[in-house]
Amino acid sequence: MVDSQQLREYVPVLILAAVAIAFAFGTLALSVVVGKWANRSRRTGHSTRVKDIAYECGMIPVGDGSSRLSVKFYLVAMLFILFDIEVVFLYPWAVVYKSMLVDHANLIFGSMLTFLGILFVGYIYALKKRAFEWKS
Amino acid sequence: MSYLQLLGLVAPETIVVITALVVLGLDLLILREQPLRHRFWMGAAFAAFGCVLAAAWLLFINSPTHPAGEVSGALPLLRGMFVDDGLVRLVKVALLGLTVFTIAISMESSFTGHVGEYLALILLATVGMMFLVSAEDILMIFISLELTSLSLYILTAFNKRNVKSAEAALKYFLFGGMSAAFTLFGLSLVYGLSGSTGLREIAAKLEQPALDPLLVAAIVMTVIGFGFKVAAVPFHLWAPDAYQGAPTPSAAFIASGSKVASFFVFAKVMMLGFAHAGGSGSWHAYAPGWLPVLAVVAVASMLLGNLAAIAQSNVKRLLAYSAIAHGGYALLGILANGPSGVTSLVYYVVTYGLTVLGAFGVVGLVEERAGEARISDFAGLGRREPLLAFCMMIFMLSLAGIPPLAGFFGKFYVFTAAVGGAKDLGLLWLVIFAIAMSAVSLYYYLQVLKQIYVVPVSAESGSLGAPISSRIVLAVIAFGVVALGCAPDFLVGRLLAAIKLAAL
Amino acid sequence: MQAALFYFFAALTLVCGALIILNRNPINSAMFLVLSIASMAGLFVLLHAFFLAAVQVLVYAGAVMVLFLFVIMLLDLKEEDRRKFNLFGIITGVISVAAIAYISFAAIRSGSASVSRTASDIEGGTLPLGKLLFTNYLLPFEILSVLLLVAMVGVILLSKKDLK
Repeated sequence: MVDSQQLREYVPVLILAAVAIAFAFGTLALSVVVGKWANRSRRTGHSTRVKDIAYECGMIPVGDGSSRLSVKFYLVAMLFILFDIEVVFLYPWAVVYKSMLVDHANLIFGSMLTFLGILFVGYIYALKKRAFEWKS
Repeated sequence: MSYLQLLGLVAPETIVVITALVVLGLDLLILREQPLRHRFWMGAAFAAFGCVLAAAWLLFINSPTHPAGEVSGALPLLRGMFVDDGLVRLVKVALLGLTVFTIAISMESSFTGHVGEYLALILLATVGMMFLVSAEDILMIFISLELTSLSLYILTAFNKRNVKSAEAALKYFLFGGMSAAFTLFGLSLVYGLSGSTGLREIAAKLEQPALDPLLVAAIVMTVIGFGFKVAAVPFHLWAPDAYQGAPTPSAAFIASGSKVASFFVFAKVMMLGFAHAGGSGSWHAYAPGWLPVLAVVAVASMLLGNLAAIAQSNVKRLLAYSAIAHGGYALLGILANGPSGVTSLVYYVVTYGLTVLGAFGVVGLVEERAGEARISDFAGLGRREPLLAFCMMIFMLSLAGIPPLAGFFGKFYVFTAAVGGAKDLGLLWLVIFAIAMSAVSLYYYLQVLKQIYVVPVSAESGSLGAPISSRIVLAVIAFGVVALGCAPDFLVGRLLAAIKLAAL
Repeated sequence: MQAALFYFFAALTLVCGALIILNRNPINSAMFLVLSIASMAGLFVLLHAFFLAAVQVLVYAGAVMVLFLFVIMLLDLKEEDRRKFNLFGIITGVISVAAIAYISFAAIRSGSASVSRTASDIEGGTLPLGKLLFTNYLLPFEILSVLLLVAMVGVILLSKKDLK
């Protein structure tokens, strides 16, 4: 087993996650408590229905908040994922690059060159087909 | 080992990849304003040239082959990742040939304006298949299987004007995604049990008399995953819709090239990886393992494929169900579980691929004219188009397994391998069943031929107006089917010689 | 501590996984998928697969989930109506679940000796992983670029309107 030294490095991440969750739920809870308290009626000590409505003036919102997205978003998101995966493979490459440069310089360099080269063809294709242009 | 050495080892694949990139770029940058016909001809010529070059390399450049298990150079770069022996080379040449014919029958079609992409995707799917047949490592198998499948999904959806094409692609994609998940789950269990990704190491680690329950799960899931890929019952549901909705050349490619590669790697995974978990499917000596599972799948495929094909009125659907049935016959080659099984399997799927490619070629021409490919659209083809009708007759009779065509010898070899593969004629029950089913199949193939030759021509239908190039291509394929049937030793002799060296 | 964390993350993964299919609002389902993926990243960390954990968060919880949400919004999915189950679906479902449960049970009972011999000596840090990737597994890595190219061409071809 790898010694748990490396695992211990993840304790801050765990703490961060705990703080994030606590913050998200804490503010929610706090807003309920504070809202109840601020909206309480002077006479009865309880909040009233009218005071609990989101906005005290203007129109009460009707209908659905969301609307249908264009298919263009999908194209952008998909291209983003593909290039994202490409970048993910650059991390381990960058980490081992120096140590492999000694013995297998040509291997470590050539492999990434091919990888990027083939994806570059895809990039040119996307560019030429105007996949990155919003208006078409 | 230097990078150029690595590229040299995978030179045929590199050639095909470069061809695909060049075809894509050529169409994108230079041929853009040309008329469609012109673009298709130029692109197809270039793509076919690349395939022929790669095949020539495989056949004539005697670079040192890399049998399995050999460590090359300073790094164990290719151990199991890329096996390069005579058998693999033969299968690859067959794959490249099927690709060239697919390109040739798609040359005159008009379902798409995106010529460069279409040809490039066919070539890249071929690259996936080539790596697939070379792979003896589960990671490599999975990645090349995905490359092949992804290209085929897109090729299925290629006709953007036809809703059915999109529907077919969606069904194919969803089933394919499910099957990939099953394959991956099964293979990861295998990795968990054996701790290695190479098929031979896996077999060595899994050598124990009792079946581990996890191994059972792994085998079942792997069979499910590959069963989807080769469209065996009960994982066949995507096939009829995908074949019918896809553009005809794409369907032909799915039925031919991808079948050859999938069956080959299926046999490899079962025979090499699960070498000690075979069990027995004999009627008198049943033992649990993958053999009985595959025997059940084979029976179901032959039964359902043949019976459902009888009820079809669309020829593309008919060919789909016939492909399911043929998958069942081909499984007998895997069930034979030995060198003779591999020989017969490769001969069977290659000749089947060639035949079905030709059949789809004729169907595509009829469909182009009639808009659909119902059996009744073939009425009177014998008068209208004597040459094409004759080719179709050869293809149909070969699929039915009539001597002296290639289909007959394919079935013959597979059946004899299956009879000899198990002890005491244990698989005889399966072979008798297969022969009976193959007699049933004669009915629906003759149904098509009856339309072509017996049903009178209706008044308004004349010749198909098929271009001369398509006629030549189909005639060549038909000639190939006859020649491989008359001289089966041409292929079988080479296969046997190659297998002796390959240690499979 | 490690065991406690393992049970916590495993339970979280399973509960979120169940909530993904039980939820009737697709956006909520997607959110539970994010949570399930993130807790799986926690499991990867406990298995010392540090790079994989990071990629899990970066690619799956990040990019892939954005895509999921876009597709849900693109299709403008509303809350589903109550689903109707057919008998065939129930029977096949019960059979498959029973089979999986039986196999898992049998595997646990037969002793985990066959399983535990792996994974322990595998290092999952970025450095050992990179070394393996660029030596033994170089060929799959190169094929991956072709796979990504195919995906790129396919997505542009199929989803771009008025493609030239």
